Amino acid sequence: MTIPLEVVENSLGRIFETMYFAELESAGSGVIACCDRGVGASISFSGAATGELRIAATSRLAAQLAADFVAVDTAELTAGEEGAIMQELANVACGCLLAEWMPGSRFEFGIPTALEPSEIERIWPLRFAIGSAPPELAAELRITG
Amino acid sequence: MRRYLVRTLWMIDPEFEVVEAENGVAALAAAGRRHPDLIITDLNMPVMGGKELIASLARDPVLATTPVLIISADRSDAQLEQLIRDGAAGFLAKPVTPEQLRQHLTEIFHSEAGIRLDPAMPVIV
Repeated sequence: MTIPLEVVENSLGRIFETMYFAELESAGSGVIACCDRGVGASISFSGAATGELRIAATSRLAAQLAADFVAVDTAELTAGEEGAIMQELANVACGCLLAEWMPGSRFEFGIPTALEPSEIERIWPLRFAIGSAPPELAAELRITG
Repeated sequence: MRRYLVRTLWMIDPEFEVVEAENGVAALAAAGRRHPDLIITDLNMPVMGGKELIASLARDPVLATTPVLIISADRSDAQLEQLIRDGAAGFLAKPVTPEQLRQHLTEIFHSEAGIRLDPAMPVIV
C-alpha cells in the first residue's frame, strides 16, 4: 500500500496556508539541517491503514512556527514550545492527509512524540521550503500495513 | 494548541474567562470546580482522551448539559457521528481558523435553547 507523494505535499501545503498564510515549495529529498539539530515529531496511526508520519524542521523554523502560531516573538516562547508545535503539526498533517487519501475511512491516532536528533539528521524523502528560503521542513510517511 | 485557543477566544471576546487543562482528567476536575459554559477538547490526548471525557461528562448530573466542542485532526466520519450521539455539541477539523471557531461558538450557543455564552463563566480548553 502506498500513498501518492502529492497527497502529503497537498495536505502540508493547505495546513501552512491555513495556519501561517505561507506557501510551501516542494524541494525533493535531502537533509534539512546542516547547521542546527532540528526539531521533529512522529505520530502513528492504525485503522484502514497502519503507519507513521514523521516531520521535522530546523530549530529556526520550528521556533518561528511556534511563535507565529500564538502570535508572539520568538524570544517570548517558553521552553518546549518548538517541540510542541512540531507535534501539533504532525497531528494536524496526519489527519488531513489520511482524510484526503482515504475519505470516510476510520483511523485511530497515537499521541505525537518528539524525534531524537539522530532521527532528524538524515536524508528525508520530502523537503519543503517557504518562499525562496532553503528547505527547512521535511516529512516522511511510512505505511506498514 | 491550548495557547492558540486561549488567544483566539480572547480575540473573539476579551471578557471570556478561559481555564486551561492538560488532558481529560484535568478538564473533568476543572469542570467540576468551575461549571463552565463550554468545554473545548481535542480527541487525542494523553491520560484521558476526548471520547472518555465526553462519556464522563455525560454521566455527571451537573455537567451533562455542558456543551462540548471537539477540535481534532481525527475526522473519521463514523467516530464523529458516535461522538455527536454521545453528547458533543460540535466538531471542528484542525487546522482551525479564528473565524471557524467564532462561527461554531455562535452556532452552538444559538442552537442550545436559551443558552448564551456568558463571558463571566469559564470556557475550559
